Amino acid sequence: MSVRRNKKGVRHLYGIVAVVYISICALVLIIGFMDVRGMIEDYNAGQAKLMSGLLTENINMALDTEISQVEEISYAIVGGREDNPNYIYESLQFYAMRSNISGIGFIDYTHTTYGTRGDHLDLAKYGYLSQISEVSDTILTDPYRSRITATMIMTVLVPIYKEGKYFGTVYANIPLDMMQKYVSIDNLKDNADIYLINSHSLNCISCTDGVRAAAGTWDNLTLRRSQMVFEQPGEYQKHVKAMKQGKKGDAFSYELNGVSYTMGYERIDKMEDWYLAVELTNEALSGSFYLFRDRLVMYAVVLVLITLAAGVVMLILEITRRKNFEKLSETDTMTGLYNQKTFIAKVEEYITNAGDGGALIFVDVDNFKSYNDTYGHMNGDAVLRKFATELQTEFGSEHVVARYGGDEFTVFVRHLTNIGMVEMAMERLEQCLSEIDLDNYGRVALNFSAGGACYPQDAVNYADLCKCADAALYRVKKDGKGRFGWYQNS
Amino acid sequence: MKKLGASLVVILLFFSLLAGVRTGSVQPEHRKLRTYQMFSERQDNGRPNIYLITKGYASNYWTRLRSGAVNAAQEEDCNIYLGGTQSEEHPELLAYLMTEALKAGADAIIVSPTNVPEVVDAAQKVQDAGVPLIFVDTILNEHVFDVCYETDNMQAGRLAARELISLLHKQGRSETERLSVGVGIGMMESQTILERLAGFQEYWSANAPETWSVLEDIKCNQGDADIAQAQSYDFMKENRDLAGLVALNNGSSIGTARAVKNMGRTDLAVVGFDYSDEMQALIRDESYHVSSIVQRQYDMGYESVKAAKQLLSGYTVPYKYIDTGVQQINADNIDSPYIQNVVGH
Repeated sequence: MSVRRNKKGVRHLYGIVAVVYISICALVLIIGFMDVRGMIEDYNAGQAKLMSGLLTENINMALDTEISQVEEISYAIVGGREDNPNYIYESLQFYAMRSNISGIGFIDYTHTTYGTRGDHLDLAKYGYLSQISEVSDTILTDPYRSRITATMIMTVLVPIYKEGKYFGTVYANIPLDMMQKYVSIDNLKDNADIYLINSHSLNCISCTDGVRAAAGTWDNLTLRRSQMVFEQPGEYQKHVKAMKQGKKGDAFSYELNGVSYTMGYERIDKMEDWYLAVELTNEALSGSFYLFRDRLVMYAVVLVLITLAAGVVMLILEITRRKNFEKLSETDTMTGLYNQKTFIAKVEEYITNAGDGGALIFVDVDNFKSYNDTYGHMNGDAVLRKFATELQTEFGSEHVVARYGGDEFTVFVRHLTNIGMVEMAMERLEQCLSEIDLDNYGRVALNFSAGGACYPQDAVNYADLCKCADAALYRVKKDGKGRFGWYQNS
Repeated sequence: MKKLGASLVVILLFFSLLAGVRTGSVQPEHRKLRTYQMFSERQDNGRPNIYLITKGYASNYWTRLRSGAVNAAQEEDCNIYLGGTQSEEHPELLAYLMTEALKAGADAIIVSPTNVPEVVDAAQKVQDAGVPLIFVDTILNEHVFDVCYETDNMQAGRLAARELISLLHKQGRSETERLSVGVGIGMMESQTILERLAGFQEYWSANAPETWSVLEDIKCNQGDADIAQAQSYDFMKENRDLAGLVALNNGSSIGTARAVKNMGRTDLAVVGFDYSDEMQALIRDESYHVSSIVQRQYDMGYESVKAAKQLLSGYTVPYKYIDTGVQQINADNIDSPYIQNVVGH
């Protein structure tokens, strides 16, 4: 009873340990996943910010270079001794041919344009012509569509003063898609959109042929806001406010039409109120991270499955091992019958728990030593195995059969109601165990002596029952061996 | 009897298929039900053949545009063939019609494009074939056309903002007063709409008083006037300080005008686009403060045919992008001969 309770308790313990182990694994995975996700988001934001910062630096430098070149040429051509506007225009044209400029000209202090009529009409249309004489510094206009090229351009306006007096303004048109070559991100160009964003109107214009828009396409961040899904409330407002306040730059992530993006933005120093924004898909930004995350999840799942499988296998092996061990510790290795210790335990258990009667029988192989001496130990073992087999066959698992030691066997008959049945069984055994075929010796005669005692009639505990059965056996041997006798008859 | 019935069904099916070919209701390449208008038979009379393909043909807007093109074709002694799709919703049909025009031997093609890859590819094919290609109403940011006639929608948006600010001032709105204005748009992906919105936002952010704000909830109605009307009701219900509404396309304007009229909101300043009956009625009603920005679509059609003839004659056009301009119409000028001419009456 206590053994059984112990085994049950151990199984429960295994179960608890398994559940705790799997729970800890799951918790670790969840925490790890959350950490990785957080890392991915931080990484994305950092990368986007870094990229937009680098790109803005490129843009700023490029614009700076373009503007500086226009200024230098302007000062050189216009600021020199030459005052003839036509000559000035021709010289500017010559310069433009060797640069990225798509249109160039000169507007004198009378607002006469020395350049294409199209440029003049555009500058007038967008209000720049009326302002140029009031501006003392170089300015870069907002993007607009040129009627000559039908593409989006920005115009550099360089005011020229001679002897302190306004002389005129050089204008030079920079195509917006020129930005493309300064902001190309070879590794990510299929996953990136570059925008200029105006911090007041939140208008966006695409600078590149990106994921969602062709170069020169207008959009508005306020309009897109309704489609964007932010993780943190107030995230969008925070960044819009930062842009309106002229902050240098930052980055934020969102989901748009089911795709995750990160947008990094940086102020463009040469374009007042404008920011450069780089919008990248998170998958592209942290493609390796997502791959890593997917692999991690896959490995984790596989690991958990393997662990579970290993656990199950180990459990099965352990159970099998225990059973085998129990079996080994309970049985006689040669015959496979119970050993003495197990026999005693089982009989005592029966006597303690059962209310029915029983019979304890000792069976002794007659002259066993001679078999070993005459026929060898191998054949001697064969005799013992035959006894074991026949006893097992006769009495089965319903009763307890054991090898008590050496050439002595014992049987405990459970639920005995009629000793006649035992006597008949013993007679059958005498028949079965009358001879044996031995290797090299052929058929050889067998005999046994057996003595039995009844429970509770002869004794009420194992020790006394044993003594009675032993006494019965002794009497049988003394009377000539080769038969079965009861204790009562002693 | 069964055989007779089956025969009748077969005959009916056969004739319905035949009927479908001419109107383009069912075509082998376009098995889903989409309606478009195919060109009439080409005439070989020695005159240049100009094909005009529009992304709409039933509305007053497109009728005016086509009318301009037809008149110019008559003046320039050209054949003109009209085709188009029922709406902007199936741009692949535009590409199909462009290809068909090319196959039919068009000397020049005029099209109101949509910014989708199919149309860009079709435009490229037209260019590669050496056929002059002219855009009307919409520009593509691709180098696949010879000239474009359209409204500068950024400017139109700026004008809409200017008009709205002007109307609010006329209503006596103070520059320190907190008020909001709602914006309704049609198709969210339409570059026309986006440019108008960009122009509106740009002008408003630079010129409107700080306390006058544009509601962040910009309502998109996909070009459906009924949805626009419902959304206008929402604007009115959700915003107590609503002082103005701007509708950036014809469908939005129709819906907004209906809503304002039904609710009797004479306190609202309204700026819309185009010249629908609803907008016209509201402008004429002196109790409302309304202005409409109308395009010059007649000029688009007219000038595009003129340009086509010029290109076919070996001349170049001076500019690649021509803004045909807009005109604001309000209670002050609606009955002037000039305005009536602009709107085609």
